[in-house]
Amino acid sequence: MRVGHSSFVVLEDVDLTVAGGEIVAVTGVNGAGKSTLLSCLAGLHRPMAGTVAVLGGPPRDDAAFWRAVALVADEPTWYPGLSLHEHLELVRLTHEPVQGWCLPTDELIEVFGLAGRADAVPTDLSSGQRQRLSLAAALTRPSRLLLLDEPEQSLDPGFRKELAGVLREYAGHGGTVVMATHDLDFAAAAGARLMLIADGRMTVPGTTGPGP
Amino acid sequence: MIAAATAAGPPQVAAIRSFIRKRRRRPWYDWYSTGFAVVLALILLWDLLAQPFDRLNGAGEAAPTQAVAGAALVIGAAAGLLVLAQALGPLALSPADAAWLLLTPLDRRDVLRRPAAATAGIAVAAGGVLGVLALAMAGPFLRLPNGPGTHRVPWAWLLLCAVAGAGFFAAATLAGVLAQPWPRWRVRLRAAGAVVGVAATVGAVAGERWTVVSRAITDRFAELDTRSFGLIAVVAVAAAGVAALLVRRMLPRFPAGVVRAGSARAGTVLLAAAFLNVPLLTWIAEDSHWRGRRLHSRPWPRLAAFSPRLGPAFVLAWADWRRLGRRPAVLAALAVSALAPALAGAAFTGRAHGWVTAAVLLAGAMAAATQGTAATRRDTNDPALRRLLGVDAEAALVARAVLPALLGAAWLALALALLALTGELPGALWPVLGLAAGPGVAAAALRIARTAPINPADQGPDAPVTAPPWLLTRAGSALLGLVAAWPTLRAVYAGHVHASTFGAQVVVAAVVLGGYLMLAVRSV
Repeated sequence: MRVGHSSFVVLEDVDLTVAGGEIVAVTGVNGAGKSTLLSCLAGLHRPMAGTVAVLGGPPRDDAAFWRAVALVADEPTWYPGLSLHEHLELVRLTHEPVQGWCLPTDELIEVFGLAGRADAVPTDLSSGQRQRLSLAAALTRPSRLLLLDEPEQSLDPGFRKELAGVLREYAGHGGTVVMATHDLDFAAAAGARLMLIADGRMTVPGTTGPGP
Repeated sequence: MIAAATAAGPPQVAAIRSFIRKRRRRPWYDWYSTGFAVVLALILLWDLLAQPFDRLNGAGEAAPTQAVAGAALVIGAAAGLLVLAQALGPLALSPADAAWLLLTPLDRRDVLRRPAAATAGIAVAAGGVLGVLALAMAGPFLRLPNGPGTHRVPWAWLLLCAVAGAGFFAAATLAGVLAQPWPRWRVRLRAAGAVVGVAATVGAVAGERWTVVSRAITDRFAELDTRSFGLIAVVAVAAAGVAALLVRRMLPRFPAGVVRAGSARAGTVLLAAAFLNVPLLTWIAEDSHWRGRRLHSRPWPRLAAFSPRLGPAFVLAWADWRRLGRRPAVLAALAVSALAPALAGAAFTGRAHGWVTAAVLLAGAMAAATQGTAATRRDTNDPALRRLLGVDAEAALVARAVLPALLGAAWLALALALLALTGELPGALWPVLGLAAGPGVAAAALRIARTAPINPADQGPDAPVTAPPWLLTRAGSALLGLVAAWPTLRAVYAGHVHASTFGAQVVVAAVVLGGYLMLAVRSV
């Protein structure tokens, strides 16, 4: 596919196939088009040419699509006056009936090291804690595809390993992960297949040819 | 781990909203600030509209030029509001709703129903006021059915005009919602709004300049009767109904990406507007303008050679000159807006001087000067670039005062020249007075630019009867502009100028700008 904005092309001739239960980490320099690729997969950005198929069809932007797909990109705007726990509870409410693999809210808060701050307002948290909360919001609801834009940002090295384990567990239950990342160690810890975007094209790192 | 499935069916948006509403804890000063702003806006609006509305009772005399200028202002205001609605969405959720309710399995129509209804409701209310205002402008020239000696416009006409205004404005706003997902149609609608605004201005100027034009238009007003008002209202309601139906059909498949982009922008704009945060509003507008553009890089001018201290500061200040040079449309809009004082004065009070003209002059001059303070705004929020370049902060402030001073002076000179051309302000020296007042107005523009964004949650008012601090801060900047241009504004209010006014204006402007710069550099 070919993707761009009004005055310039970001991705040229990108071809990527991801199997169910697979974790793919897309890497590349700043401005390479990693976030734009995720945006296309979420159906929020239309390619100029080519096709995008997610879970067997084009991103439909309807209830069934968003029940299956979870996107973590920029930090969300938090509801003022709602606690961390209430935000996670809200996510589960909006995805009822909760059917499929996901981590229960209380356990997620524990695993993500937010137990002491469950009643805090998100804006009172550090940037790393808010990033943990954003990721927790995507994992406390069932989904089949996780789209993560630089999930490692603001996270300490210890928790990156923890997160890699959670993603492996997610994929082990049949979920698919496509993430943009700059942290190759994190990608390796998650057992991800690494893809590189350079000059608008996608390649396997260390090769010059197109990726699978 | 498999989470237990709930017995409940798909979630209802109403239940989700209720969950959020019950848990949100709003501080009392949130309600206080909102209430204060609404009451203040209503008082100001009523004060502004009271005089035109008086014409519905046959109060006062009006010239044909006044009716034409008034009608043009109403059409121009409607076009401006439509362009503003486009900038805000028109369909937008709160940023938090967009983040937590949009990319979910919730029914899209249910999620968007409330903002769509709010958009339509606001459009109906604004359109209703515009409709009545249009009738008021035409008031003295209507042939009333009540018989000779009675000047009161019938209630039926009032109602029908309100309905017609509400219908047409709602239809236009909802057309904006229908066009929202299509960039090409958005551009076309914006262009249509601009064309209508320009046409209204040209019509008003023609009516002001040539009485035969205004007479021809006001003669048409006399042909209006209950039947024609009714017909217009029916057409308007039908247009609004069709647009509403189309929007309702579109809501379930309204693209999430479009709503997300609009919601993020609208949320920041509304927050900034709610607290009169002009720097943030202008910042957003600037970012939106330059996003996605490819610029032609040019070498920086060699200004540093002139003076070791001021040279680098002028190099830094050149950023605003270059930015403005790349936006000729802004300069053109400023030039056209110089007509506003003459038109507003004529429309509201029937004469091109008085307090309305003076107020519009001050607001316009400050807006013009503000166009030269973009870099100052950036520095206030993040002085990293200035520090990186190693430019002296005091010298930078002085160098950056030059462009707003020139812009304020040029705009005032042009606006006063146009006022003099209408013949209401006798004499040819008015533009010189504007040139003298410009530098003083620049102080107010710089103060606005250097006012850091205020977090209202951090500064609750001391007592329930005082204005919130953010309002006092904004009012302080306006007051500075008022003081700086006082001799000119006073002369415009009175409609005549003395020789001593020029001297007074030069001294006042120099003292205000000099004093402000002296105080400001201490806080750098």
